Amino acid sequence: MTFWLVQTFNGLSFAMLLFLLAAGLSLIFGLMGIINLAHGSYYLLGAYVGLAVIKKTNSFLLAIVGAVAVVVIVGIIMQRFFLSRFYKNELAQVLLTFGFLFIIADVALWIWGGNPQALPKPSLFEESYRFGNIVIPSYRIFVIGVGFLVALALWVLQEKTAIGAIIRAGVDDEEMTRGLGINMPFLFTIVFGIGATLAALAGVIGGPFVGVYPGVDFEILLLAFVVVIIGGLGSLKGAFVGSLIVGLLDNFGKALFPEFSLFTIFAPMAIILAVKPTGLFGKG
Amino acid sequence: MSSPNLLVKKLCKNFGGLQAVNDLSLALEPGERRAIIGPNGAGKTTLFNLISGAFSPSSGEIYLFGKEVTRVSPHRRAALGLARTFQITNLFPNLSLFENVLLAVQALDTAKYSALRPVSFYRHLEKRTYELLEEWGMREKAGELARNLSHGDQRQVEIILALAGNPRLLLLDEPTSGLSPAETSTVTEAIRKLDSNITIALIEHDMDVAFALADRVSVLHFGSLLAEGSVSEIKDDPRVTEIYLGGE
Amino acid sequence: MRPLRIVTALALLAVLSLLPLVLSQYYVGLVTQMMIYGIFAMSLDILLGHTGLPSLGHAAYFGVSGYTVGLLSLKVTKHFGLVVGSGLGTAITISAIFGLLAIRTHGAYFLMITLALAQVLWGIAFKWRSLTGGDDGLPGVPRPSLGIPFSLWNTTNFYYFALVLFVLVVIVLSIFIRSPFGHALRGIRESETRMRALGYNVWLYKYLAFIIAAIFGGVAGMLFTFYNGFVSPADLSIVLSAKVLLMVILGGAGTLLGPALGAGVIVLLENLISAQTERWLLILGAIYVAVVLFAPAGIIGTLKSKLRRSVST
Repeated sequence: MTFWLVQTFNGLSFAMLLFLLAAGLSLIFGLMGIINLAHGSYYLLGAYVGLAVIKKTNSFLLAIVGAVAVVVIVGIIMQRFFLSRFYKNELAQVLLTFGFLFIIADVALWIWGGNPQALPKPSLFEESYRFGNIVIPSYRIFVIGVGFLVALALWVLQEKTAIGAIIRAGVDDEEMTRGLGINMPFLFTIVFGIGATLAALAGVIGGPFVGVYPGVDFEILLLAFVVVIIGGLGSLKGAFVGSLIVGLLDNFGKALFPEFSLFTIFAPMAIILAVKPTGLFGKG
Repeated sequence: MSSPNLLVKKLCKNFGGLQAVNDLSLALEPGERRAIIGPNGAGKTTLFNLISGAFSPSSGEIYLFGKEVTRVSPHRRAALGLARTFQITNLFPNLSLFENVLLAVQALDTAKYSALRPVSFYRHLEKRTYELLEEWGMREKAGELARNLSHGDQRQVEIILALAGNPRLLLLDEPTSGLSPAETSTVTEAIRKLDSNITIALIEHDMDVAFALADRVSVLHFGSLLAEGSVSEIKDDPRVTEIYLGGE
Repeated sequence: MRPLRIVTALALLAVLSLLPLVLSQYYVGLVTQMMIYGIFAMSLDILLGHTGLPSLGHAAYFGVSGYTVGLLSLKVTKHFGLVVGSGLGTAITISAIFGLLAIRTHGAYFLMITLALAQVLWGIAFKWRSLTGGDDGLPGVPRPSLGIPFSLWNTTNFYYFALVLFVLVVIVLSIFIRSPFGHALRGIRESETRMRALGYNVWLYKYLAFIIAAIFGGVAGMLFTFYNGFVSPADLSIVLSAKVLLMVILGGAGTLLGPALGAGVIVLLENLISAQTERWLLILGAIYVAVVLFAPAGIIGTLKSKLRRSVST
């Protein structure tokens, strides 16, 4: 019983981390049709920058601010000067973002070296709560809380605001949005910036328990892909449900069948694909 | 009398809440020329997509040459002798005219799965391709990419591709759309001269073309059959006049 | 045009045959690698250039055949026919299963699903240490004996072995792309709806193309494992999948020999540059970006359109 509770809790917090990445990935694809292979690199970059800021200032909050600032700048440069020229050209986008993945990975390796590192937890969340014989670190609760808050904020943004209405319209019918005289390039940049922000945030708050090391960009990217494949590209609800599924499966898989842990994620993905190729909440 | 070449029974197709085709029944006798007319959004192209198998119907039945094909895939229907053209030109833009026609010629040939011999090995495919191009006076354009052909030529290629497989039933979706008056009369004449054994269903916006080519006319309105009859009956039908005048 | 092409091909073949006489062993090995990756890139071109299916998981078949021949050679038998037959068998089996899932989807979904499926194999290779050696891979894979007095352990001999296979693959694939089947694949690339209306079973063609591409990818993977004497999760990874995609685009998708040329260029650059600096990954990343920005039609594609322009003016 204790095992199941603790693992569920760990799975939930990892799921929320995945949601931060998958939501951005999915939103960007839904609006612009871009598959951003460098999305995991935003996580990597966010974590490294966050770590550097913490070492200098000892402030977790400043780490988040610094990481978001750097990653958003990188993301917007990628979107404005490169990706925007290859709208609707999937292959070009894949090659471009893959190139950026390598560039960011190698620059990070250059600056921060190849040793795995972890960010320190913020002092506010260092303690753990005990319920009988169950120990739950308060930091995990904090991560779950952030995930839910972001989900709520994105939901409000998408369903209740003017920008959200435009995004939804853009997802459904790009011609119409143009017809309404909306500045699509600007909207694209905004949404790309939101995606980069969330990924950088994930890097900083995931840093204390996932850590940061060369290759984490690929690992995180792949899990985020599985999330959006399961949930359906372009769907916020899909990203949330998919994150829960993948986060929990990954955690239990690692704990129960370490040699086949990836299988516990991919087998359900294959089944969902076989039944519904566009994912649980995807269109079509 | 043999069975009809095309029989459609109580066909329905919904897109979300929209009833694109609603309880539609049709029968085309062998060799018949049938025009299908109606205002925009009457469900004409949807009907063609259902008959050719591009869409599957919400309910109802479709028979081709006496065989039920309601759930049969498009390529099997083509093998039975059905061919179609597209309202929005649908060629292979980055392939040459020769390759466009060749693909249509080999589509129903046993060699189409052959992977270990070049096409040139199958002389009959090349020969038939050049014959068709010759027949339509396009032999000298054989090497041009389809996307570089004029709009008029592209519309003609639409028809050539459909005819390449010697179909028994031909669905023509606005063959003259976007053509100049001169080109329209060329294409109309070409269709009139087609083998009279081929059954033809023709969607047409241009009433003169429709009435010139058809034996009988079916009028669609909001996905349902509004009227059906000979050309003169339809010309005199007040309901038909009304939807056309009211719709414009 | 025809005779010119044949003369060029023969001249190229002559140069390739004579190279070991003038090159050092290091460069003979390098050209061997170029030809192996050339086969791999041409196999992806069937999917990407001819059928219009952008696979981001093509390393799956390279790696799975590599692991099969590696495991068999190390633990079971060195019999050439058995080893190679099994290597092809696994490529066919895996692609037949993956194809069922991937072929139903289009565009972005196809990209992501092929990537995710290949990553399943990568995950198995990485985690199942007792069988695959995990990230250490399988070292010491012996080269097979052909049953004739021609040892593949000699670098120059292996070069000629790879050259024969390379030439065979080029011949088979150039017939394939000119066959009715190959024409049908390009028809599907251009318009699936038209192909269906004409009477083609589009799904079946795509599915078969997927498997055929996997078979030739497997050939490359096996050759590489024999050449290297080593197979590791890197041979299944997304990095390799994306690299072969770059080779195809760099050379020119849909031109068959272009992708082989692209493969040669990348392999050459990788070896020359990584000998000079540790920042090869950075430069490779820049090459990805540069190819998309400056040569989207690839080397051969750009040359062709230049040629056409200079002929018409």
